[in-house]
Amino acid sequence: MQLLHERCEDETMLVMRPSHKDSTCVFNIRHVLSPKRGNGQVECSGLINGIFGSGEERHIAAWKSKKMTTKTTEEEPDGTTIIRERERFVQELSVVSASGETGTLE
Amino acid sequence: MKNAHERFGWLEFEKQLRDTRTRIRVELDQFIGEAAEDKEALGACHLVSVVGNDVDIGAIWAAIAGQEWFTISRPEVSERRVTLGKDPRIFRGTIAVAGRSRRVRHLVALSAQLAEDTDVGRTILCRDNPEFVLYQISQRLGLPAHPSWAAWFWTALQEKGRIQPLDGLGYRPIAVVGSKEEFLEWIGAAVKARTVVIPDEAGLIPWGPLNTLTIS
Repeated sequence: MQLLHERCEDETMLVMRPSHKDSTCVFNIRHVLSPKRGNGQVECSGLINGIFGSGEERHIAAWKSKKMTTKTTEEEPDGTTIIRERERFVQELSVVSASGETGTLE
Repeated sequence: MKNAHERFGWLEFEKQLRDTRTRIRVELDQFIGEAAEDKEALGACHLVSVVGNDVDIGAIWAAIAGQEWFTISRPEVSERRVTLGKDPRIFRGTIAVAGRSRRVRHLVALSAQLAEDTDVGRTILCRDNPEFVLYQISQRLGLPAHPSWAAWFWTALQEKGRIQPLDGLGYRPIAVVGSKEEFLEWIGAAVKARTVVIPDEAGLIPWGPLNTLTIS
């Protein structure tokens, strides 16, 4: 992701972790930026929404944070039903490539 | 712009208890509600912005939190009954007016549908400017979009009948119907058909200033 490298030199606020410098491709971002505390703030704030790549690999990308709720139901031996709801935030990346292909990663 | 007394409306709250009757009337400067002719919406409104004294604004705050109904009256428009519904977001502030010793209290209340940024398949917007519409939808839904696509997106919304005009005061509000998946599909098809193109220059998306002066 060339843009991130360029901007890192000018705007130090974008480099939140050393690992951010390794973000070489927008499609690899989930592997490079592991889901630790603080990661995803730059993406989800819309600071790096933009156009990446060139030629046929050119694509436009946008990030967004999204709340997911996981619901589990357990049946106890005495017939009691326990329903647990777990809420978490995930980062969602949507991409449109120059060929018209679209995709969404979570 | 018209003088305040010509463009402001009124928000009135009336409550009848066993032996008392409360009637509070504050000035309404901005309002967004479902269209009056929409019978399914049953008087739902999405934004009210009112000014008044401390006591009146406090009472209006309590009434909104209690999901009460209000009467809205505006210049040249018939009165209507509205409610912000369940779980509204309410913000209060103070405005100092030059030459007046007492400050004016200001309250803005949003419906849950307007305040939450989850994709419910319908987005409420305060203006109908094409670039503003595309910007807001892309930000709210996390949609990859470019400002140069605004005219195409607006035409597509109109052709598919996805724009619903809303009732407003101080705004020209609309509701845009459609989910992120649908819009992403439209963009993909348009890019594939070369109706819109992704610009060559890599970089951030240049949305430019989208303030009330540039979009009105």
